[in-house]
Amino acid sequence: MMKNIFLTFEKWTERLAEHAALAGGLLMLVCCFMVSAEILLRKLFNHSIGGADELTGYALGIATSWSFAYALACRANIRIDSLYMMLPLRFRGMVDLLALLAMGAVLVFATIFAIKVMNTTASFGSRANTPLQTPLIIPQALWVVGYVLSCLLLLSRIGRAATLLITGQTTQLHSLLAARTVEDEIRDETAGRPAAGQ
Amino acid sequence: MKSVTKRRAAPQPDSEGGAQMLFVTLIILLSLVALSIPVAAALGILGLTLDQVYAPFPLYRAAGEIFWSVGTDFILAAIPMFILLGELLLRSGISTRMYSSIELWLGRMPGGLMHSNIAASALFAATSGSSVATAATVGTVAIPEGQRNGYNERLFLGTLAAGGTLGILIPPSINLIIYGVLTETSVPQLYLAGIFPGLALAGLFMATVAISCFLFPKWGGRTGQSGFMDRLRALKHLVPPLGIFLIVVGSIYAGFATPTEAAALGVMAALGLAAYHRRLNWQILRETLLGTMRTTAMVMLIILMAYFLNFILSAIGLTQQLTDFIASMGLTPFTTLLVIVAFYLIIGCFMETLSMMIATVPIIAPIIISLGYDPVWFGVLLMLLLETALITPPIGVNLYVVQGVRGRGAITDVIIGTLPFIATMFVMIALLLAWPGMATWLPQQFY
Amino acid sequence: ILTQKAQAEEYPETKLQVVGTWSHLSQFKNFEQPFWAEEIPAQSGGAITANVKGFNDMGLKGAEVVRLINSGALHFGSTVLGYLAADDPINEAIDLAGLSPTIETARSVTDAFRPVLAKRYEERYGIKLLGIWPYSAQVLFCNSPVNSLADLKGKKVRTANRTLAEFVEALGGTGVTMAFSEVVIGLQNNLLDCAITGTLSGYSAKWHEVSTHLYELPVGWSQVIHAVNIDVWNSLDAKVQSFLQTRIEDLENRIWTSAAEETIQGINCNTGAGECQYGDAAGMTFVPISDADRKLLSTILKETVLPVWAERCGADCTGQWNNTVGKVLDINAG
Ligand code: NA
Ligand code: NA
Repeated sequence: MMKNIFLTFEKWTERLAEHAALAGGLLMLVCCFMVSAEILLRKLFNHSIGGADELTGYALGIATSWSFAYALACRANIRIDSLYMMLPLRFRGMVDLLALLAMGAVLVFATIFAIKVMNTTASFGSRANTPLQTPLIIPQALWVVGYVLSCLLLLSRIGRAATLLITGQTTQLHSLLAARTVEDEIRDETAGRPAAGQ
Repeated sequence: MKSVTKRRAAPQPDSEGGAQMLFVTLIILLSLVALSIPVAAALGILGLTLDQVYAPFPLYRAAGEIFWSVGTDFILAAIPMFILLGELLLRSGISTRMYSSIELWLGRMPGGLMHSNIAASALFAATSGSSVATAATVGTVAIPEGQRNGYNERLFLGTLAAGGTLGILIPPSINLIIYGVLTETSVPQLYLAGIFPGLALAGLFMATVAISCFLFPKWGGRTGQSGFMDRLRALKHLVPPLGIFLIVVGSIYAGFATPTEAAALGVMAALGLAAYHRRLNWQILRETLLGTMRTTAMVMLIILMAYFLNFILSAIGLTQQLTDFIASMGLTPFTTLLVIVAFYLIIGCFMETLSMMIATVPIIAPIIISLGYDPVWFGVLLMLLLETALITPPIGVNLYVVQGVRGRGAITDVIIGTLPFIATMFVMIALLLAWPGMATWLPQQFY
Repeated sequence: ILTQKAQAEEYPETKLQVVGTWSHLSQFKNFEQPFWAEEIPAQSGGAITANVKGFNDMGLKGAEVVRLINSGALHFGSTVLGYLAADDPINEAIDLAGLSPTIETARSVTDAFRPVLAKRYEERYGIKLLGIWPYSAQVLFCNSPVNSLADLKGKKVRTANRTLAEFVEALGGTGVTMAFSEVVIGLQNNLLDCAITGTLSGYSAKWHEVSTHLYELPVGWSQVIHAVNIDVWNSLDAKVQSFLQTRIEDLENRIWTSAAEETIQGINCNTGAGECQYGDAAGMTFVPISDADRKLLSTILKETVLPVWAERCGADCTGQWNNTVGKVLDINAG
């Protein structure tokens, strides 16, 4: 019963995470169009709409936070696994759980303070110090949504991990949380996904 | 409004406390990283811990404001744009065609494909802002070729790991953009400064291959055969990457765009190329965007946490401690510089490059500049140090990327094959120290 | 020396956390940094010490400083008042475009409005205002001939805040937002026609290398506020409080005096009009102010800048402005 609730919750949050990341990607793509249009207008007609940079900045913040959950679901966050790979499987499981909890702690912390920023903005009625005078509550509220979503995903992961731990399903626990292995990386690389932005 | 929570008095940093503080910081960081805690989480936890231990007041409350103002910086929007650009080039087959074309031209040199690997890395670096993307892309295309033609596998893998590092030195470069943001240095000047050292380093890498194959002729593999007309015809496949370079870098100097705007133009061009090659449908676009945002989220989370950590380090006075400590050693400017280079080479073995850069540049760059060194030149030197960090074991991301693409055998093959190129990196660093004009001459012609 | 030592022993040992303005600009290097790192410890006989750095060194952009003082993450802090306009339009009140054509006006405007700001900060943010001082005069750096304000028509001008953008737009130009570090390339490549900053700041940032005309008309002064978290302040010993207040007041006066000199130095260094103490003088064309432009500036202030701001700031804020700044200048914000 418990297990089913967590499975459903996990399925939904993962689906939501993927949709949010896709929306974030589309948002950045739209920004590329907008910025390019701005450049062309400026160069060809010596006319500037203005504000493309400001809006792209908000878009970056929103697109990024909306993708946090997806990156978590893909286990994309860089972990240094030199020692990890030397550990026996059951110790790896403990390390994985620790990594999950650490990530959870940091994201919950970030979410709390993102919400505080939004609340301060709401109480001040802040508007951007630019010609657009964007009411900052709009981009900040959207930005906060991404953080909350990442917390939901973490919650589902921790819930699932706990049930697997209680029911003693260590193999499933491992496949749920393990650091990305070389095999995972190949699958992504050959699918044409550069691994990181360094 | 809120009142300040009173905390117990914190130990005041003096010179001894400073050394202790630095030691504690490094121990916590290394423990977290060794425990395989995700890098972003490790940085955040380190920041929170240092705040609890060393700050008499609640620094952590600054986190939200930092995440918002850094996370919405227009200049950093170049990061997802470059990632998207790279994904589009790979998926539209442009990288594969570029590699084949270079192979036709360089395949007959001693060491053949290994020269192609480096040249292809240099050319791809001219369209990509990232070293990891460069190594992954060229590696994906090159590794099957190398296995067919009987090259010394280790050296072959080394060319890919080392060649890939050119991605952040040859413009465009995400890391140069971040350095520019951190030090208030002009990104266009940094881009210009990176060109000659980038080409020189590519040349030195090729020389390394040539010398190795001269000493050990069996390493060179079979040489390819191709007619002159074939080679001439193949040149057209170099046009798309060169075109992207012209748009993403040239547009800045032609007076079209700022560096971030230029990245957006590059995405438009790559989108056009993908459409031209009929590789643009919803399924591919969807995968491209998801891949882009997966990487962006991971990279941005590290950047946000590194900024938060930087705020804490600065507020608890660790930054000042380190600066004072270096000043107290009473070294000449050049010796200080050498100490700093050694410092980067050492921590580069153990740290991921992006967080290493954001956590150290705000401390180190002011010292370097106060000694009278040019910030643009130091930016290029820093790129070389980061490139070295990408290929030094045990933690060298490019080593893992190449091993990941290879998908068999042991990581030690890649590590051993890369060692000659680490030596080459040292030579290059020495050259840049001896002859700063290599980096500063070109920007001086423009500014 | 003896009397100083005797005085010094009165202060309890106090350690302060201070965040100053941009660390690469002369205000931090010549005033804030030596003030906190050397003068305060020396004058307190070593009892009061401070850890001071520019907000940019902490990875901040300046606009967060007041929120962070409010939350207790920062204690003492300085930032440009104009950067705070997003959270509260009252922060624009003393640096509205064209409000103070001379530094004397800027000072009297600042002094007149100071009690209003102090009250607002105490009530709204739990912050005690300690000082307000200016950068050098904010002027136009252009890369094509600009001989009067009318020439700004159709030009793209980089501004750091919205009141300047509104001013530029009232003249038929376009206000552009761009990071400070990108302005050089923007001017060089004609992404921008003009950019506004302090005369000396522009010289430090090498804007003179990419622009040709320096228009003398000060459109603003980019005033900086220095403030402290009220709980932190209240936790200080009363003697320390009055010592700091006196010293900061003195610092404030010195910066105001030097701002006039820095403005002239900036002009000299950019145009070679006189001796430059900060390096080699550049050869920008110096464009002096005409009487017609002084009138135009005042007209735009009254007809565009003030009414738009008054609407943003609300009736209460405008009323307070009229009673203070308005009386000094003999104008009404509507
Ligand atoms: Na590059
Ligand atoms: Na390394």
